[in-house]
Amino acid sequence: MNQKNRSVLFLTIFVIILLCVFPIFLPSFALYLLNEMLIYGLFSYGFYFLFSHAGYLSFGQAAYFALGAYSVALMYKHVSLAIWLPFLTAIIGTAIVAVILGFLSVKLGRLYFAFLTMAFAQMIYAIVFRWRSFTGGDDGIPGVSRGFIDISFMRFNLESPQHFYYFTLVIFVVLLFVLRKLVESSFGLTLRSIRDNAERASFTGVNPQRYVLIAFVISAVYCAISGALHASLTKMAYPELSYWSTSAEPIIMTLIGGVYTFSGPFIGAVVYIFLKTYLMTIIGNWILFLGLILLIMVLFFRSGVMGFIEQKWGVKL
Amino acid sequence: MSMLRSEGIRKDFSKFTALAGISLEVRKGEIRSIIGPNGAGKTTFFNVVTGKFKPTEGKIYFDGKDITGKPSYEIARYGIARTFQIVNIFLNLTVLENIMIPVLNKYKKNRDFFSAPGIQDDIMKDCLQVIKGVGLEKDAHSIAGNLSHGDKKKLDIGIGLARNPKMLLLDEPTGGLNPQDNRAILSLIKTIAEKEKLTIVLVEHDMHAVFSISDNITVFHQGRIIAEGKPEDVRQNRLVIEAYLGEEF
Repeated sequence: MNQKNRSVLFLTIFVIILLCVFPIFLPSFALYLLNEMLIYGLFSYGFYFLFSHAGYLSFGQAAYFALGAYSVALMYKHVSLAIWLPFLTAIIGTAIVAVILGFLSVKLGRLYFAFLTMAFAQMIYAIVFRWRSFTGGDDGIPGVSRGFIDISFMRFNLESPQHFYYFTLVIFVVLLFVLRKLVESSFGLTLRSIRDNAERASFTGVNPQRYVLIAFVISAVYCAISGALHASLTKMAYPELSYWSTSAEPIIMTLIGGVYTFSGPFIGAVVYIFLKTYLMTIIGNWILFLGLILLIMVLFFRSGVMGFIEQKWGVKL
Repeated sequence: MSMLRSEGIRKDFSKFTALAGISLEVRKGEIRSIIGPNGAGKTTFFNVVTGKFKPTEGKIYFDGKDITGKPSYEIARYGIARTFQIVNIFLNLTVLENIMIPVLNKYKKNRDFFSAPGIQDDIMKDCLQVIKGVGLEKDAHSIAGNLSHGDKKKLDIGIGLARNPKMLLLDEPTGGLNPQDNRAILSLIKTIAEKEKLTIVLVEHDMHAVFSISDNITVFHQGRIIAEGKPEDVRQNRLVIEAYLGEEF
């Protein structure tokens, strides 16, 4: 391991330690924001994996975010307050939906993929919105629990902000570790070959659609887990979670952070939520400033915050 | 023993007929050139054989198996590899990674989710051997997009070879090269053919290359075969001279 790799490793460990000790001194609102950053970071990683490695731009990952949210909301309400079944339902249910919709979406190539994912997400929005008896319609499902973890006779209640923050942090770190492995694996490399040149990949024996479908399902599961955490954090599941503007959020976060850097999606989520919260309290209409920020990004920092830093320091972050 | 056999291949693009009944047979271990003027259907024929296009009519057999209309990734697995007229590589990956994609596929390891081949693995050894074979060992860790045109062509051939195909289709392997690279690529093709006992079909416009390298030549004109045979026979064929070679050759 060379000097630069070692400093990146130390930096990573330092950030994780920082994230661990934050709850001790952060005021509750700041902790809530940090929690939200982790959740949206995870959501962005779902988008990032599919976009940055397979080269497929999805405009509909909100569908899976919402499916995760509604799965745990309904399961906590009707079935169990232990986290296992609700999260399992969110993961497996979303994966099944993603296999079906993904299969239909990858058939026609990249451009149609963007449209089809958006169309399917809007269909899910319509279903969630209309099916009042099951989903609560536009009222959504209020009062979602945060559940508890029971391991043999021990029980950790996740209702308190600190406990729930650590729960999110553990999931975040584990899923990021898994994603890193995926990115560095032969599968990740094969995805990037498809991103670069799907035709060439298929002439070497790779079936591009199959690989993109697998990446799509992995992405959807990441989105679902973040959606599930979001429902618990905000104690709400509501139809807008599946709306197309929700799909745009991980896209913007990933762009801000840096599309081709591994830390980009999380940094993007941190910057986005920070700006959103503070600009909203200062000026109210923050969408205008978001437009301005995106303009500046596209003109001067096309590789995102982390991409810019990578180029300046000559390290992979 | 025939390696590739096509029977009455016809390919229509709406009203335009690109191939009007191509029947040919390539023996195992043969080097076959396909020549003809632009628009004769040479590349279309490659595209039909490798599954990019489905033929409108006709059958293609490879190594005794019917491969007509199969998707290109399946055809690649039967043992047909190809290169392209316009360099077709993974521009943002390194040379090693470019070669690794087909090698991983050969070992059925593309779907290895949590590990990548280490330096000791057979996969890595195979990759390095292919890279050495096409003479790119100094550039193994360079990004493919930064290579010179000649080196990109070599890499394209390397990607084709990496899966240990039974047959290699080369679409204008010397196109756009300077004389030095041209010679390098030709000697590379000859070496491959001898060492790997590969069947090679190539489309080429460099007639000196074609006549020096080929066992047999097939001449396409307007989607049909107008002549076929040993280089010296084709050279003297009246039809070929009129359609393509011209009097001075």
